Amino acid sequence: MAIRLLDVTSYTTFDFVEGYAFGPDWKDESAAVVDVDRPKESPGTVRLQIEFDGGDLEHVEHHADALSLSPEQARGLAADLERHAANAEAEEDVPRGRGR
Amino acid sequence: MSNKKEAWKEGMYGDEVREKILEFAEKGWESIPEEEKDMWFSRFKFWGIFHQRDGQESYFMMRLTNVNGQMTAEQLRAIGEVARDYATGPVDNPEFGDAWIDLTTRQSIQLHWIKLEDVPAIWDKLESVGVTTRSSGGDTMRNIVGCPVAGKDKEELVESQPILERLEEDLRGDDELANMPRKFNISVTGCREGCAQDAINGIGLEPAEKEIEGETVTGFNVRVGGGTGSREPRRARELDVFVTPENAYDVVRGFVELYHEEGRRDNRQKNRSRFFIDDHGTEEVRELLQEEYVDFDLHRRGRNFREEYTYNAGRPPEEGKTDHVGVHEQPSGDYYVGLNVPVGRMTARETIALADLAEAYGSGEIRLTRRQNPLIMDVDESAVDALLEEPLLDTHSPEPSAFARGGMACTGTEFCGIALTETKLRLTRMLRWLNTNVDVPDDVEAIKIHYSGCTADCGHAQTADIGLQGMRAQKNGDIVEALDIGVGGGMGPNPEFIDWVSQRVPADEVPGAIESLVGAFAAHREEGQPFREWLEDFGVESVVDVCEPKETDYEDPYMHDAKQSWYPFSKNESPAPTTVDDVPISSD
Repeated sequence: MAIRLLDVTSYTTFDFVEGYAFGPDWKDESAAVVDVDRPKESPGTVRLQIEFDGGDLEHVEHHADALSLSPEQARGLAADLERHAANAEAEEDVPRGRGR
Repeated sequence: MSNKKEAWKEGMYGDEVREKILEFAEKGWESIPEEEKDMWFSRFKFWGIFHQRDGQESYFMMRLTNVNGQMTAEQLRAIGEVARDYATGPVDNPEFGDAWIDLTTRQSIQLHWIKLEDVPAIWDKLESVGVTTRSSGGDTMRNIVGCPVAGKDKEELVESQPILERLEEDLRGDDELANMPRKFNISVTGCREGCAQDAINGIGLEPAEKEIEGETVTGFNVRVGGGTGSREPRRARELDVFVTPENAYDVVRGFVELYHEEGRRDNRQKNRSRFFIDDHGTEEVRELLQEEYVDFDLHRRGRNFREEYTYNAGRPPEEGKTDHVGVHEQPSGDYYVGLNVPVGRMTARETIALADLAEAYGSGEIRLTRRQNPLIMDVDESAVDALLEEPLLDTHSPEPSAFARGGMACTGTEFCGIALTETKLRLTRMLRWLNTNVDVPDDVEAIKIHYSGCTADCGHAQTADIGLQGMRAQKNGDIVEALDIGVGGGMGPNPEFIDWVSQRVPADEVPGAIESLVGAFAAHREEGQPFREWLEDFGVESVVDVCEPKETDYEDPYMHDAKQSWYPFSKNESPAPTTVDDVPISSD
């Protein structure tokens, strides 16, 4: 079982999130580490990283994913998360189709 | 572009910070401007003064330095008295009470709950007996580690004591080199057991011999760029240099100056010396060292003695010492007695008692090891039995159980702001449960369980038989403290880091998991095999299959604490910040 690729300390954004990796005909459920930071080599960007626990993965190799976001994209993501969080707390119906 | 900490260090660092600490101490906690706190706390670290974590405002941890874990009874007594009088918090630890010392994995001592206002009086008391806190933290050369029984060891090949002393005086004492790119660790050992663990230091001197002009010369091989931290551990690499004892100081100094000048200062994630060696390679660094930093010809490496290393090596006891616990003969015919302090914590009362015993039965000299244990040195053969009868040696026995002997832990969430879980108290409880419930084969001296509260790995989980690192998991709908479990680390001739076998095991199921691992070891090992050797035969994949986390009658009352609470063992609100008498300072 591989070493964790992301640092996991109290500074890590989330040390425990439930999630899953999936393909056309498979799904690996796993706990994950999620971290948001600014990479030193590219300080003008925001980095979102996700790593599923290696021990839970059957269909993919243990790995981490990293997204490089511009500040504008990061704000857009945050705004979308905020909007959906508010709706989730209000237990609003989940709209279907284009209305999402 | 230099980072914020670099800017602070450029503004002021090293010896001049002392005056500011004294000034703030005199005026009190509230005299530190709010917007400057981060900057001052960063600078204070050079003087061994570390602000404790969120919720514990106005309380500090103090780290002492010494050479190679060596101290006198007078010094240890002063440290114990400082702990008794000043290392007292607003709330007791449920296991250790109030006022204790922590022995560290770098042969040093840490005190907690120190008030800034008390620092001048503490320094007066400690410095009057030659104990200092200078250069024990921050981006600096940390206390130098070595064989704790240097000069008094039957296994010593080459004398290291004079080199250690010169490095302490002339290199660490040099204020010009106070501001390093990042923290930097030095180890020097002349013994053939590998107890300074040079594989995990920024620069390590290990004993070696070499034919020079037809003669066999003893000295040291040089390794650079080792460290266990974060998720990128590195074994120190051969610099392909042999040095004589006469030239050893200059080579260490040369490498320190080289890293001081050439090491990166722009990226704190990538500027430890191990990454410096990754970036440049040992050959390039060797060339640079030769061309610009030493003025004699460097020899190529000599013959090392790593094949003989037994310290934390996972070899059978008959091959040599795996630690310094127990009664051991010195070349003089006297004995040293190694006490075992599981998780490294001793009360102030025990600390003072230890100093008294060292004076009554030995020469008064005490040494600290890298496994968080103290040694009483120079005990006359006729006094050994009486010493072993002393009550303190009942508590911290030189003949401990295999689990007690192998236990080490970092600070954890009790005081550390980076950790994810509590460590020392939990491991103490786990060791007690394991002692009572899990049988270990008679010929096994130690099962080394090292516990770190996060991936920074200050507790050396990476080099344990069974390594534990703090994580978080969900159990019965609650988020609970959990541990990643790994196996098979160790030092010796072939240092190896652990392989993980189970992740996010809820803390209350960890003793059950360890029981299954030790049970498999006991059932499948060949006679005489220690854990690490058994694991090589059994295979990590098979261990994954036998590792069974499960609830037992071990109780873990603190697994729901999470990192938000101000102190993991208190249900009350934090009183911090407080006055020097632990009275809350009102916010208006």
